[in-house]
Amino acid sequence: MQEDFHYYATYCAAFLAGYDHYESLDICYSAQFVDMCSRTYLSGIKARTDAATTQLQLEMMDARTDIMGLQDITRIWASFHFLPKDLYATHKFRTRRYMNKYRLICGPNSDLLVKTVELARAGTLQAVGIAMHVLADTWAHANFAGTPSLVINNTTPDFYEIYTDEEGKEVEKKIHFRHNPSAADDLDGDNFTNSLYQGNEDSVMNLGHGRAGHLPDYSFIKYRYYPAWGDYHELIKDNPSDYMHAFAQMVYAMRYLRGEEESFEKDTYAWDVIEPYRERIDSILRKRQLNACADWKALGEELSGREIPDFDVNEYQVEYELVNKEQKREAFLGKFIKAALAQKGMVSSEIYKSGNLLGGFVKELLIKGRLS
Amino acid sequence: MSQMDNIVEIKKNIKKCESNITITGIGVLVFGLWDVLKFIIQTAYGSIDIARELSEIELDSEIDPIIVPLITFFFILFVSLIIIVVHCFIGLRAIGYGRGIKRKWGFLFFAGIIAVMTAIGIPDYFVSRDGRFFIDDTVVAAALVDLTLCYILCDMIFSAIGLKIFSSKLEQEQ
Amino acid sequence: MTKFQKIKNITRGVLSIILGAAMIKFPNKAYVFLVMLIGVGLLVYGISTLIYYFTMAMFMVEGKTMLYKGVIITDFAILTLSLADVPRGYVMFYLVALHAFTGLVEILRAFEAKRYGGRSWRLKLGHGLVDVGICIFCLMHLKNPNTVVIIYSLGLVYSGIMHLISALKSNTFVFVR
Repeated sequence: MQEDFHYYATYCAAFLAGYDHYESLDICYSAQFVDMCSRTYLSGIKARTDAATTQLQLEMMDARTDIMGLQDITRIWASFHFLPKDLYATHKFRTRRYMNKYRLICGPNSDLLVKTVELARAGTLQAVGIAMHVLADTWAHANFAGTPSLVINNTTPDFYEIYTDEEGKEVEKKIHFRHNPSAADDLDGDNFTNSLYQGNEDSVMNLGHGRAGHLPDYSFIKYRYYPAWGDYHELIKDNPSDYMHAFAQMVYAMRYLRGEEESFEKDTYAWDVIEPYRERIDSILRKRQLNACADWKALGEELSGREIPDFDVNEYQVEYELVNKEQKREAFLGKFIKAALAQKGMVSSEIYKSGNLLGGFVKELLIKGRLS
Repeated sequence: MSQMDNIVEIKKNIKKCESNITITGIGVLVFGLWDVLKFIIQTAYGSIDIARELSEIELDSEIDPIIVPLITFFFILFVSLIIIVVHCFIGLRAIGYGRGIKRKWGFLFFAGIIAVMTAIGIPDYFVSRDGRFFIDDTVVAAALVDLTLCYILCDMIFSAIGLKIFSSKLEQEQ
Repeated sequence: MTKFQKIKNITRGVLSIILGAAMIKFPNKAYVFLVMLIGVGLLVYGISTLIYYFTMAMFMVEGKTMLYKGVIITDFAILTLSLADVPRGYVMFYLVALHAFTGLVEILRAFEAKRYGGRSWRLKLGHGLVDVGICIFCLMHLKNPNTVVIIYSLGLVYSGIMHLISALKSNTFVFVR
């Protein structure tokens, strides 16, 4: 997902869940900051670099792809952007090596998602924001894994967009991909950018949804394709429906985090809360545009009656740099870092407990002791 | 299994066959290059000796010295072109067939012929010029390559047959 | 190009230059070493591709590509290794053909890079054309093995320099997050 959903839509969801304007801003800022908090940024503000929640292009170019490097990459991407759906999935006649990667495939309504939301309950608004980012991405990035893997994340070149024509019939047209990094996706000409095929299993180019380009991040598009792990079954990805579910689930999750729901259950959504705005939200999601920031911002400002400032990655940097060492934990970024470490530790621990070493080894003390 | 499940399963098998045909088509194109290389090596370095063949032809007058290399050159060119054209025809048609662009069977006939000819030719690797059994690493390597080509061509043919069967089943189910 | 790919390119470039120089210095012996190196390299790559196919890629859509890739590379590796003890003429012809194939691949990559807006497509095209040109030149002097060795060696040195240039220049990296 992009800034339009992680920042502005999360603000709308937080407000609808009952948070006030300032709380909603803290939550949506944290949700969007997950896509910005790289090692480069953290080392720039002299913070703990192991709290990184993303990796920049330049960092990916320099990333090692030996076992240590792969574990490092998997810890970040599986914890924040591609939360695994079923760490104990089974599949007949598959090798252990294959299943280790297969079990990292992302999907919504997983046990790990429940743990993510529950982990945020005892935390700060920053923890809520991180949890909402993770939740939203489980819908957008479903069917891809947060580890470099050709056999999981590759696809065939057959992508078809499914849309409704003027007569109300569902028709499809082939999507054309190119590998030009400088050109934006051309929605009218149906020319989209994706990453080149790389035959090496552990190449960073085989991380996440690169082979599908930005299609998973566009809320308007419904398409079908053949994922490498799908055994020649085609998969239909209905983004308008998935994004609507993501939004409704975020509202439900944040109501739980505020204490208005007794528990957080899988496959449960706050449809009643969003009902008055459902049509408006649906129209935003289905509008064919590269970026829906303006539309979501307008909705958010209508809901709260307050202005939503544009996202500024450096907003809390000065605060963090100026406070002394003992007080850094209480600064905005300090709370974010603490929550990010908790999330990363939890997910890595669960991956390790399932017998999968792709997330590396985790010291239990890190979760129980130092972060409390 | 419900009818819906049946249709899904058949569609999956159709996609698998189409994918196989496309991949084997690419393999045949690559092997075209190998066949040309093998032929040129055999001609240039002795196992196919055109000069000797020509010298055994009885003519009324002596042949111009330039004729032999000229004939050799054109012979190599002509046969190389045929090899390339046949492999390109089979390979490109297979790729088109697998992608659903052109559903014509003709290329499978040629694929079968090449497969049979290649299979028949493999034992010849192990027979020296004087008719005795002969084996060394070069011969084994060359035989392995030809065996792989046979396998690819057979895979192509069986996948095409499978595609036909599953397509008929899909029509029946629908 | 990732860091690992740059290191690979630099290693390949340096090795090509050293081998090219060695072949000029020792025209009767160095080519055997080159053939063995290529053969062993291909064999390791081919077998590891086959292992990858049977442990991972056979469960992947269109994974059979890996099987054929592994088998073809292994076949060619065995063929290459078997050429170490045959007359120099056969070996040189095989090496020249392999070099031509590499040149053709480079030309195709250049056109692909041009189509996708890459900046280094002219460099790749030049590299590919020179590779193919060297091979044609070698074929013209096929009856004179010493000349072929020298031309081929110069081609190898040129290729090595091109790999070094490619590794050291900045390039675009399409990574979709």
